[in-house]
Amino acid sequence: MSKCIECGLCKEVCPSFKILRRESVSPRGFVIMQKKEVYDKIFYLCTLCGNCEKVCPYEAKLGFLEFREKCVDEGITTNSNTKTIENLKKTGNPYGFSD
Amino acid sequence: MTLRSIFGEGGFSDSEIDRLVYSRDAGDLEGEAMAVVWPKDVKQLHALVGYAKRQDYNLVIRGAGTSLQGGCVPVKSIIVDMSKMNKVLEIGDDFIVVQAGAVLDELNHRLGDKIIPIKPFNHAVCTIGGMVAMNCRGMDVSKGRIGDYVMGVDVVDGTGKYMKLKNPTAKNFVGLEGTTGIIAHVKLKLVSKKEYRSFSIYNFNTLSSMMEKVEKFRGKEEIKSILFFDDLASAMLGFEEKNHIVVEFLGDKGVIKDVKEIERILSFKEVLYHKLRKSRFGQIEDPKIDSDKMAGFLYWLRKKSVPVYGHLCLGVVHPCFKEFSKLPTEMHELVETIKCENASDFGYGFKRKSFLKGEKKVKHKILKEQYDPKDLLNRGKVHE
Repeated sequence: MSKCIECGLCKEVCPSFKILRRESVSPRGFVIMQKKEVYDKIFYLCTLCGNCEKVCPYEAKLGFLEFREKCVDEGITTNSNTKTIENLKKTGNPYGFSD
Repeated sequence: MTLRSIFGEGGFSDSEIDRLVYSRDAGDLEGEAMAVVWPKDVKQLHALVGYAKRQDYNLVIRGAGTSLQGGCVPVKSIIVDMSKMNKVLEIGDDFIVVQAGAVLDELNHRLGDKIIPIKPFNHAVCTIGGMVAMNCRGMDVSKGRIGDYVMGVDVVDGTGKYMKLKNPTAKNFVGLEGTTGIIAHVKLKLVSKKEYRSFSIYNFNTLSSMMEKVEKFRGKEEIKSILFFDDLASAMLGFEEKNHIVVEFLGDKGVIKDVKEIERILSFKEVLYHKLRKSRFGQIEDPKIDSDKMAGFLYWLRKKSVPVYGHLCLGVVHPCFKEFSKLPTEMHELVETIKCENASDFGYGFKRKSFLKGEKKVKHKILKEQYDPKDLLNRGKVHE
């Protein structure tokens, strides 16, 4: 498994960066947050699509799903995320629909 | 007037996260960003320079942030992220006018038959403004540098003056690494994708037999470029462990003429670059060596088991060193001793200021004093 060297070559395939054009909402920005252990709601702008890993010339594994889990553990979450987790716990359905 | 009032909510940030993320680029240096702004037009750039002058802030202009020399690392600076100035302003038959933050690959996908022919290894993300500021060369070296295609630039200089410039004055902002002005718009010449050229690949057991062959090719009109991989670099590319040269011919004298095969050949450098970086060759250099000293220089590298590739017509070679190796310093000393240049393609940024010498240094000083006397732009970069 290779680590991210922060070359930034994956930015333009990130759907969030494409719209916001902000380095802190790009795979490299998220990696810097990870390395510095900075947990913030901004990380929820990562769609976890995995495009960045697909185009990475160094085949880096970025571990954004695990970082999302850590954010939750640290109590950094969004209202919609909290609601989704609640719904899943109660009904097993992210939207809260029960059979 | 504050930065927030100039740029509005979405165009300014001094949040901890933005300051952290913008404190670095693709290299290993880290600085301190005071705030980040995302300009949308020239009016905002003009107001920004005025603000920086009054408040004695310095500005770091940032394109894709792929510099390895600390080109966009801040020193208690305001980062000017040009990413949102990415519009195409005009497309003509053989030219295009774009905002500086436009991304090269996106433009070329959109352009069709006539394109911007310079394709550096970071083509998927690099911005036109960044390319022009670095006067970058592409992987296909016979195309020259991006500066050869610049027809004009619109800039805001370090005094806050907005100028629409044609050549030759436009060149005062090409390759100056953003130290003389903020490039807002660029007019670029487009060229046809269709080409009349071919390639041949040769391999050699020894460096001396390779250099003999290179000498025979050198200076011939039909030779457009000679790309070289030593035995170590060749092995990394999956070739036989021998020295290889890839010779580009004008016309059909070369063996390889198929367009797809030529594309594959042109991607060798990109493939090798990523393989090297993946194998922890974190220090890839770019000395320019005089032709009569090249053989001796390559022998020196081989003796030290340093993989190297490069362009023998241009004299630009890329020795590749492992992270934390002390050999680059030894090589820099050698290059100084033989009176060649230590930097030719990757810029000076923060890390390689000491490499700017002679006429180039004098020219830079004159332009800096003319366009940015208060040293507001990319402070501490290129030279002191």
